[in-house]
Amino acid sequence: MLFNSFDFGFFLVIVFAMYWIIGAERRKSQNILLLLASYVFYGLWDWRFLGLIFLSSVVDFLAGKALATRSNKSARRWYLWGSIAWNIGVLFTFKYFDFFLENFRSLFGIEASEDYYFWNVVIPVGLSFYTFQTMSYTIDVFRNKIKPTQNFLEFMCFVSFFPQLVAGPIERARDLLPQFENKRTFDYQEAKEGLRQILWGLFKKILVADKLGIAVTMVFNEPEHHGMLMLAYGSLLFFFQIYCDFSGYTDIAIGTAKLFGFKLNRNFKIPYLSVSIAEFWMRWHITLTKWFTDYVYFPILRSRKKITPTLRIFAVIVTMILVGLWHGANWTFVMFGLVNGIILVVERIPFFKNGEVLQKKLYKIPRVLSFIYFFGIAILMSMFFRSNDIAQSFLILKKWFTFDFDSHISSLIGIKLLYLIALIIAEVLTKDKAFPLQELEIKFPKPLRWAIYYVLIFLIIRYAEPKEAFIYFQF
Amino acid sequence: MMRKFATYCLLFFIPVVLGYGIAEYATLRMPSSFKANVDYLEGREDSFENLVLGSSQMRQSVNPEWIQSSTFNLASGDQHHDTDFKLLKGIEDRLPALKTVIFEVSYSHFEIAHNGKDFWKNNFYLKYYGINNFERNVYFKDRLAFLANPPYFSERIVQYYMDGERKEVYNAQGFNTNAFYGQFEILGHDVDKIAAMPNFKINREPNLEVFKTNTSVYFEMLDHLKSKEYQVVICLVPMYKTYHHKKHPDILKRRDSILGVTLKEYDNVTLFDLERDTLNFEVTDFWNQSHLNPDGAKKYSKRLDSLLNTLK
Repeated sequence: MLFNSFDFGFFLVIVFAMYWIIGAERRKSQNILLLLASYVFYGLWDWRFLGLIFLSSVVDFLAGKALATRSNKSARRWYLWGSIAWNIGVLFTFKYFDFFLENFRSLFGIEASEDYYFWNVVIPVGLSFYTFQTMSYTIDVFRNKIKPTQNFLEFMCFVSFFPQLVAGPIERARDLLPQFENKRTFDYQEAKEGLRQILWGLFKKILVADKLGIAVTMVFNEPEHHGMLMLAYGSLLFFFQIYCDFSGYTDIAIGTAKLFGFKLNRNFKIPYLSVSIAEFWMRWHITLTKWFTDYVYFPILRSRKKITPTLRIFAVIVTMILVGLWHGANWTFVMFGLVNGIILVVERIPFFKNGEVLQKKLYKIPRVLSFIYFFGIAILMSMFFRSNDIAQSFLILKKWFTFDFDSHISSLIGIKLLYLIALIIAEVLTKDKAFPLQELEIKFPKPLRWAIYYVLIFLIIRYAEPKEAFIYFQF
Repeated sequence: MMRKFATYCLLFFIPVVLGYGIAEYATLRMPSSFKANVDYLEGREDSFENLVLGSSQMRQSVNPEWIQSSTFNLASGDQHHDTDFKLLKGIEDRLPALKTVIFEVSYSHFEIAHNGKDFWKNNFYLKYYGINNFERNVYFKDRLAFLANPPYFSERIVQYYMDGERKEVYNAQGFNTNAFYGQFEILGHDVDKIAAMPNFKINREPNLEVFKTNTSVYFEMLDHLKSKEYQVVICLVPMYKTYHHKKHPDILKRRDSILGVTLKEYDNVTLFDLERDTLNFEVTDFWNQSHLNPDGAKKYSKRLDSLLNTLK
């Protein structure tokens, strides 16, 4: 069930009405309803993988309980690694097995035959999101940062909460679990904000991302037929497409959660306003960045007694390659991670007099220069991210240096570019808010507000392409 | 607070629902091939001997008016073999006199992805023909017309209600006799201007994965047609000469090889190949590089009629 579908609208109205009819006084019943709704929501994608979510919930719930009752360090480690092995194992089995098999085969020159591919499975939707969420729970319990829950129903709700189940934000147990444990009361203002955020998310997805997607597909389907400018422009448009697609989804997820009295973490802070790549990762998919920082980057640094510059470089590169691989089993994602890692390292090298690093220098130079720097790298990253395979990435890279200019670049997306421009203006003008429609009543009277909503709804219905899935669902 | 929220939501969404209702009504009021087909079908189901399937090329090439035996044209824009097959299975029991099934195999039919179960026209197959192509239970929204493809119908509503000259005019057999206005008419059927057109819609991307899937469904359909003892006519519709230059040789070679296998293994199949017929089909018979206009359709349908007479 896609967020941008009639089905989801219908589903949401029904669950919302039932949830508040049950009422805040019957929290357990509300949780049962949310769990059922979440399983129905996921089951409509593919009911066969419901068992996997349930098993993940069981494994990490039991691991958490076992960790709480054991004081023996080595036993605790066994439980932790058991949980991690399960989660990584599930991820590897469903997401990376074919990739490693294929590369193993080509490395050792083993001929491909029809029956060699014995594990050609579908990747369960949202697998990387919920396994990371459950893994963080066990690690936090192990680190004594949180107390394990004793309530399996609440834990299952935490793992499968439908607004953020298939594409995040990746919530931590310390933030989300207590919300299932405590009473939720209906908040009129929050519910209003929730609806506004859903509307804004739909605008981003349907009017910006999907329209940009058509142009981007044209470029990346036949890169050999385009020149340098068109390929760079296509990559730039993809940067905005994936931003609007993913952050649009996140807005709908956060808005939906608000309707049920939940608060989810912010996942984007206008990433295209970044000055450096380090800043970009603090503004883009924030919950994933924090996850990797807490559970990969810092543990690598803490693994040695002394933190040397080499260890820092190693930690950054490894973390970023894993961030790339998290997105998918393809060398393009490895390259995406590696390029990011290298740039993050470069930004920390003290190139300048008095030992100043590039990352800091970028904030002192004229904005136009840092703008060129950031978007140059953003285009490179987007190109790797969007390419169908590594061969295509290198073909495009090669074509960038042919200096072969295209004359028809403006016709690639045409007038629809105005949606993107409108979005950028709205976001930049309201950059202190979580989304541009937030607290709209402060500045606009009701008739004007409603007019804005109606215009947005009209445009969304008018231009909605049939069945456009969200890009991040595949991760 | 909850009541206030619900009241405001209700008040807010009333105009949205009303607006949608107007769009739905406007969509349904426009003439369409689906509506024209249903009018033609009703009461005549026992008499149809020929069933035409395929995409817009077949839709615009076969005018049943010029075919002596009773013919029902179920082709529609973008309709691929998987949808053809589902439609055939959904309607054949209602056509007891059916003898011949006519469908197309265009140059790139085997290397363009199938429609799948989410094809937007499924709403219309359900609404007008009662055929469920969704491969699941159907719901109220599956019968909504405007919602099936809002950008397309928004444009059509504007075109239809503002631009009277290009209105679709369907004959009694459900064929649009006013489909002249196209790229070629815009260029005044000027051969030089047409030859100078830099781009037009043609698939030049070989796709072996799609080829594998499509040929499998294609042979499954042929097996079904043989088991039901239907005569089959596979059409290669005329294309304008500039179209042929842009074909990808590998796609073409694979298509022709499949057709060769078909003729060898299915004795109920006849190939009706006018794809390169430049003698009978002139520039004025074309709507664009790959579609005929109603004049071209008249010629094509008459030729098809002659063939059908020989199959009796």
